[in-house]
Amino acid sequence: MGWKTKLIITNLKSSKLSNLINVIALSFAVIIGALFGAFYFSQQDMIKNQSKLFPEYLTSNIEKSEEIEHESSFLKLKQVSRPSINEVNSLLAFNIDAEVRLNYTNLFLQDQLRAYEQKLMPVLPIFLYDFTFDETQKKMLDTRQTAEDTTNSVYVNQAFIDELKNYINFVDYSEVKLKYTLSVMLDNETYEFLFEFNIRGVFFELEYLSTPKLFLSQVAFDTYFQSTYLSDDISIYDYILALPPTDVLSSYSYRLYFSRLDDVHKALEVVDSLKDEKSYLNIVSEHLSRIQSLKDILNFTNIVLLISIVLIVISLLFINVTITHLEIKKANAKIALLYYFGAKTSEIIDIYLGQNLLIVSLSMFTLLIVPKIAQFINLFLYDFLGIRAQIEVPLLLFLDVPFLFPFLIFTVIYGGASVISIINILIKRQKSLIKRLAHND
Amino acid sequence: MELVLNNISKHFGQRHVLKNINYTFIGPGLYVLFGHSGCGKTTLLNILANLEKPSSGQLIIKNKNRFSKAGIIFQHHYLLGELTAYENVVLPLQINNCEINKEEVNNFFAKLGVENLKHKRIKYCSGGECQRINIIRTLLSKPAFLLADEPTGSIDETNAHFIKETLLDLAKHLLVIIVSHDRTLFANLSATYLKLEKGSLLEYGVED
Repeated sequence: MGWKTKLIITNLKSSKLSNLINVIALSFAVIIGALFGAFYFSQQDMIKNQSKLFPEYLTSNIEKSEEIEHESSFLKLKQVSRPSINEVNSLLAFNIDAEVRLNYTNLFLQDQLRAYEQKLMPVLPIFLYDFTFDETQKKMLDTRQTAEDTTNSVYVNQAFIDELKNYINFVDYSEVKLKYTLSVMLDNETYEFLFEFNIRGVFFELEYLSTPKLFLSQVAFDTYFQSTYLSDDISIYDYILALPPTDVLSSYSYRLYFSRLDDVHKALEVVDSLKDEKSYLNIVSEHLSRIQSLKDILNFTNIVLLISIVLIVISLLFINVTITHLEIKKANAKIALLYYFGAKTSEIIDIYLGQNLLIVSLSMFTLLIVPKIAQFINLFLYDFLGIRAQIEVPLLLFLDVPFLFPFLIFTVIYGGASVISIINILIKRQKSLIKRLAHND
Repeated sequence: MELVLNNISKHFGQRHVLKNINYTFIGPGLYVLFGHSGCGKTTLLNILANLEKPSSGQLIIKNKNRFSKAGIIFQHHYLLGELTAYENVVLPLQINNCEINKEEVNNFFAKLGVENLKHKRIKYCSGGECQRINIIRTLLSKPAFLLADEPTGSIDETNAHFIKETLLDLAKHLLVIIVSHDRTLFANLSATYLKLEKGSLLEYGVED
């Protein structure tokens, strides 16, 4: 065993308590640094995954916003209206695969849902293209039977079922008869349409800020409204289509059904890049708002976390600095003696770097428990916020490089601890230090 | 060998510690340098050990037969507690990549009466034992001359006597300079006594 190795071991043995405190402080730094890193790098995937946790993840509304300046006021009014088909098509021309349909949402917002003649809670009607579900939707669906694409079938979300239990008693949701009466005033005449529904299935969507939803089939209602005629022989479908863009029954928007999630993101990007000051298209939907709100929360959390982590890591490094400083100060005579015996500065630095290497390596073992802590945080987020968080600690593979994540953590912690040691030794390098070996007159 | 102090002066700011000291130490031989606390003994020792530069004057080493480096025996032994006596004494040799002559090391251990402590950790040794081991470590580096700064300062009487005898014995073939605040601690030795007073060095006499 070389003399340097021997001295590293004796240094570790002679200051057991300091080294233990050092290992504990650095272990905490490793855990906190790794968790924050994992959280930060998991965010994009997390948001992407959350956005798939809505059955309507491929749908949204498209509306037009215009700013109207008032002559006698400095205030600007914002008017939302249904864009023209040409405007919508000009957006889709950016190689975005989507179907454009009428938006019936406002028809359903005028009345409330009933079950067994009992008035129920307000619900949010969400139109899906049809009841042919893709794999993503099937993953969150609990269904007893295949639903036909009719106006008599609906799907709901878990929040709906939970809320429904506050109003009526039922064992099997498929046996609940729901009724929706639309009372629509068209050209000074009131038309009533009655829809009776059966719940065909429940979607377990992202619970974060979840509200009761009723999922309806666009195709079924298109067919129904196209074949249902008003008094002057015009179908409801054509009537709504011909409404002025600012009429409430136009829902101020069209409904877009995208083919893939990439098309949604692309459309959002294009709309964002085409915004001018006075008139612009907006892609809006309840689930996109919730994703945005989740993003805002994550951004805020990032700032809070970053500040906390910087403070914690600084505190832990301060402990490390103090202990290292005290250790080297305590080893003043030893360092002086080594210089006196002819040791080079680089050799003395080697000893303390070796010591740090062992301490930091020991503290790196705590990385093994970080995935467990991340799992616990994931469970906590799911239980309290309903967010199916995916904080993953990339111990094995990060950015396609094996063990890059632990290596980065190790480099930061070991680098920090080593710089402190080197600075301390260089300060004490002066020859006058040797005089400290002798007692003063 | 000769260790020549040629008009050596040392001052720290306005404080003159050593004033125009001229003296020649001739080895082998034993010198005892004494004086009260603060008179500049350690400063002179540091200059002799080449640990400190004089403000003016020269230190000349003549007829050096080994290395020009001084061996210093401090009051405190500065051995590493977690290492054994053997590991401590060979450490300077390992640092300088020198060959370790085990027979020589064993002889020194025997000569200093600490043969049984070779594999004992320093933290379990007494002060006197440590000082003997410290002397072995110093001698193994084959110094040109030996400087001992209060070598019996913190050890019991029996060990102090042994150390004195050892230094006296070493002085038969090596220049040994002992620094002490109290002359009586090293009285009645066959040595040259020097007193440092008000920054000047006075020869106080030779005892046989």
